[in-house]
Amino acid sequence: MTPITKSTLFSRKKFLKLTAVLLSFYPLKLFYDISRNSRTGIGKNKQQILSMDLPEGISFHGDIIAVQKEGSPVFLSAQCPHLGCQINRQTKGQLVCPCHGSRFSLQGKIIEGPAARDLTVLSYTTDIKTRQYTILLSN
Amino acid sequence: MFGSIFKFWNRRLSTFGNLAFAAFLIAVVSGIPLAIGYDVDNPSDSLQLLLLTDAPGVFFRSLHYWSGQLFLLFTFIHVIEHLSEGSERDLKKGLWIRLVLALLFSVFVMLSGFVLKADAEGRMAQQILNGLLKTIPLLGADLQIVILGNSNSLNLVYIHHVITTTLFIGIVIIEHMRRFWPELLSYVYLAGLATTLTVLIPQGLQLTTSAEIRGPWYFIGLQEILHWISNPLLVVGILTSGLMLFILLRWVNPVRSQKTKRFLFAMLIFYGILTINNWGFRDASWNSLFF
Repeated sequence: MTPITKSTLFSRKKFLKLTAVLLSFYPLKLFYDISRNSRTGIGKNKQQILSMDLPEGISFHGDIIAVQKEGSPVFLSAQCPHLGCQINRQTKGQLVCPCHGSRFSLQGKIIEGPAARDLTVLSYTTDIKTRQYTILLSN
Repeated sequence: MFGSIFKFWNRRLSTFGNLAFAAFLIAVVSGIPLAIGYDVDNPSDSLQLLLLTDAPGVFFRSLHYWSGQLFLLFTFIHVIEHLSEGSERDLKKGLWIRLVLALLFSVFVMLSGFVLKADAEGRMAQQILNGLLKTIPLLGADLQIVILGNSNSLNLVYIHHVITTTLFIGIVIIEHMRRFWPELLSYVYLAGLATTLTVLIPQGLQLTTSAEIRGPWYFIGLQEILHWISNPLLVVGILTSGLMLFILLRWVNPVRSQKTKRFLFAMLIFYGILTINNWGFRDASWNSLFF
C-alpha cells in the first residue's frame, strides 16, 4: 500500500487548482447576472389586427392562421406546439410544420406528431366599425 | 482502413488539423467587416444592406460562410483521424476536456452564425434551440438566459458568436497545436478552396418563410431525429449521453475505448443516413421516399 504523505494528500498544486476552479464560479455568476439583465430587444406583439375581409378557407398571417368558414372565422396560433416553428402551409387539407413535419387538421387538431398537442385556438374581438379583428396572440 | 487514407493525404497535402486552423483564422478575419456592419437591432436589414450595396461585403460574407463550413468539416475529419489512431491518449486529461468543449463551441459558433442571418431559416433555428433548451428540467431556463439571452434580441447570440466562443476556440487551438499560425501551405490550400466556393456559390439570405425549412447540413440529421422522437427531452438526453461517452474515451481502457469508438462511429453513420434521407428524399410536406 502506498503510504499517504503530505504531498499526495493535498499538494500545493492541487490546492491552487481547486481554488482556481472555485474562484471561476464567481465570474460565471456575474456572467449569468449580466446575461439576464441584457437588453430586452423589441418584445413580441401581444396582439395582431386583421381585416374582416378574410378569404374563404385558410390563410396565413405570420403568427396566425385564419380559417374562415361561411363567414365565421377561427384563428389558430401558427406556432407549432412541438418546438415553436411557424406553420406556413397546408397540403391536402392538412397544416404541416416545415421544421419537423407535424400535421394538423384545418381545425388545428393533431393528426401526426412529433407535436403532442393541438394548435392553440386564439381568442379575438371584432370591431364592426373598422371591420377589423383583434386577435390575442397569447391566450 | 482510415489510417492509410490519412497517411496518403498528410504526405501529399496539409494535415486536417492545420487546414481546420487556417479555416478558423480566415473565418475570424473575414468576419470582422461583417461584425462592423451588423446591427443586432435590425439584423436582417443590416445584412441585406450589406449584400445589396457593398460588393466587398458580399465577398466577405460568402468567404466567412465557406471558411466556417470548412473549419467544421476539417475539424470533424481531424477528430476522426486521431480517434482512429488512438492518439487521444497522448493528450493530457484537462486538455482533452477543453478540446471536447471547443468542439461543442465550434458547433455552437456555426449555429449562432446561422441564427444571426436572421432570415426565415435563422429565426426557425433560434426557435428550435429555444424550444430544446426549454425542455431541460431545472437548468433549461438558466441555460436559455446564458446562451440566448432573455429576449427577442440577438445581442447575446452575437456576443457569443463574435467573442465568447471564438476566443475560447482560438485559445484551445493554440494550446493544442502549440503554435500561433498553421503551416503556410494550409493557408494557400484553404484560401484557394474557400475563395473558389465563394465565387462559385455565393451566399444569400432566405428572406421569406419557404415551404421547406432545413437547418445547416450538420443539423439535418438532428432535424430528422426530432421528427421521429416526439419528446425533445429524450433527444437532449441522447445527445448528452453521446457527449459523455465521447469525453470518457480518454479514461476507459483501450479495449473498451475501441468498442466505444466503434459504437460512436456506427452512430455517426446512422446520423449520416438520416441526413441523406432528409436532404435528398423528403419533400416539403415531410413525405419520405423510404421511411
